[in-house]
Amino acid sequence: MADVLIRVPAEFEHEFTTLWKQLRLFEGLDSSADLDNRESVDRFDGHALAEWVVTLSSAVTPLVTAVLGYLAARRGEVVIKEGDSIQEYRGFSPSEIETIYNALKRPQSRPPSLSKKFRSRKRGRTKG
Amino acid sequence: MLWYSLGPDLRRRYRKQATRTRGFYVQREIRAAVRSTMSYLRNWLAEDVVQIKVLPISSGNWLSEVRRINKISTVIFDAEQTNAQLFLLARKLAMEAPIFHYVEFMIRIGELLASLGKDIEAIRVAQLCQLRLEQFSERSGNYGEFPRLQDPEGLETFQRIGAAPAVALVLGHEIGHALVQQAAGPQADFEIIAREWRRLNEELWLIPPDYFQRLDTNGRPCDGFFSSIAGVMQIPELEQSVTITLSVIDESKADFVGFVVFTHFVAENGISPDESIDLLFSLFLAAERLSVVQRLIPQIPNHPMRKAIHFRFPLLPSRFVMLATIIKLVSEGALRPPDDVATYWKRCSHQSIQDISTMGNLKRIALIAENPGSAARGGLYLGTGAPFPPRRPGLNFLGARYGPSAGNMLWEYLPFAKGEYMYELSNLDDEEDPAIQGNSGFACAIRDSTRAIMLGDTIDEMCGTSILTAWKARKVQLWDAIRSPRLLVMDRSLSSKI
Repeated sequence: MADVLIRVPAEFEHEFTTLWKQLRLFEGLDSSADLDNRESVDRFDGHALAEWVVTLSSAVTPLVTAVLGYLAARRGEVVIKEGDSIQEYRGFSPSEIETIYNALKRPQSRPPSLSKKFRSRKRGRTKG
Repeated sequence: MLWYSLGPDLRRRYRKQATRTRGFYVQREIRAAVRSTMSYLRNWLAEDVVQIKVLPISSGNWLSEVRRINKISTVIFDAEQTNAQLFLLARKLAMEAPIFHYVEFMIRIGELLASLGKDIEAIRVAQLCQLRLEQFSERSGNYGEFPRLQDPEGLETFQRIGAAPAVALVLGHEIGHALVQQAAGPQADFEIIAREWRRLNEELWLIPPDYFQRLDTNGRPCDGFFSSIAGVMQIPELEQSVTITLSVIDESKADFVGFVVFTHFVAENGISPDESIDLLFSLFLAAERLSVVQRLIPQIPNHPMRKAIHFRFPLLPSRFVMLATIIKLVSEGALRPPDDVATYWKRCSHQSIQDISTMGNLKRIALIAENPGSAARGGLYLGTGAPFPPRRPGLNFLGARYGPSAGNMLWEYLPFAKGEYMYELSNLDDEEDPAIQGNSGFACAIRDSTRAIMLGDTIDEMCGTSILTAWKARKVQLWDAIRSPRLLVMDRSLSSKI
């Protein structure tokens, strides 16, 4: 199951959580779908962000896709992580939402790294 | 060991959200510097620091950060960030030609792209960088070799400084953030810094406006230079503006902690106070250039499309001005860092303090701090393939009469005020001014990486696809391909070309 990291500039945190709550209500979900475990991130470049980790499920995915427009407007960030594959989107525009939407539906995989190939070879050898 | 000190819950969480790709290993020298920084801070701030956890890593994102969840602060210290700063510092001290600054930025941009999952773009950046190196080699008249002039005195100074001050500056800054979050640490000093910031902000505009560069459907700036800029005077709502102001003040508080530990190490390594002022500002300048890369590069689309690229307001004017003020206040005894730091800065010459602390000089410092931001704006603009914008009549007069307060038009034109000269690497092989060397190398890197990301096909035609083909055939690893230009520069010959 893929994980999605959502990051919003710290100054918009309250606005974002309110929006998420309203979307959750209209989707007919209970409070377990609310955002929790907020983590504050202060980067060296002076960017203060609030971050949440959301595990994608059939219930939560519509909420994530619904907030993409908000994140584009407020210059939020989305990271889609499934296994080794990481797709990170920062400062995206409305026309790039479609790409993220597709990635959310079917996380893209990058070609396996050489180290991974080496591991599988090694395993093969021990089996043989 | 440090990974285990986080405890099971945090470990599980960070493993889940580990979105960074591995860079190198954290070198022993840097680990030692991290340990001595922490022990110095424990001596100074006692139990305030004990609760803060530090995790040294080395990642392709090369960005340190402090995370706070359930009242536990964890500093993710990225050794690659310090390495990046030190590489740039070495280039600056050795007064190297802009092309070598350029190579360093291109490699970092490639690493960042790869860690964002944009592998092909990262390889194109490396490919273009290689082409520029070949052109440079050709221009030098001896194809295959890189004439790399380095100032031996500068290199000697670099050796003397060592890695510890840079580590201390970054780690101390992050610890400072954690302290501010916990409302702990040297509170009296923090209050003085906040008061000074507010006082100076009335004279100098320490938070410049945000800026958007609008691109049309062909990926070119819309309708010429001046009309393609939007949102220059975007003023946020009051509530958000208060949050932004507080976060900028917090940066300076955190810088104070970094500054104290930095001083401890430069004093230990026998650097004089006058020398370390320059060193401090150089490290921050390098950090700001790298930060601009962090904010700008992820936004560039991988094909020409309509988009507004957002330039967040630069923090450097506020940071520079406050650093100068902190140095002055420490030397006067108004701020109370540990004794060794206070004695060190009291040794600083009166002239040096004057040079950075009078209001006129602070204005100059704030203006210098605009350089990285404006170089990046210019680089992006030219990278889209747009021609160099013509000079508007009257700007000279406005600039001479009113300086930075002449208004938006002058400020907008700032990236191009120095002329086309600084955006062309072929003009700059013999450049000897360290300020231009660094700035031009950076501006050209932004310009070329914009091209490599947005106009991929053109780049493939221009520089060939040897690295891309080798990577697709799995003959070379992604990270080796991205870092290959550095090996070329180190060997100083094209013989190690992959």
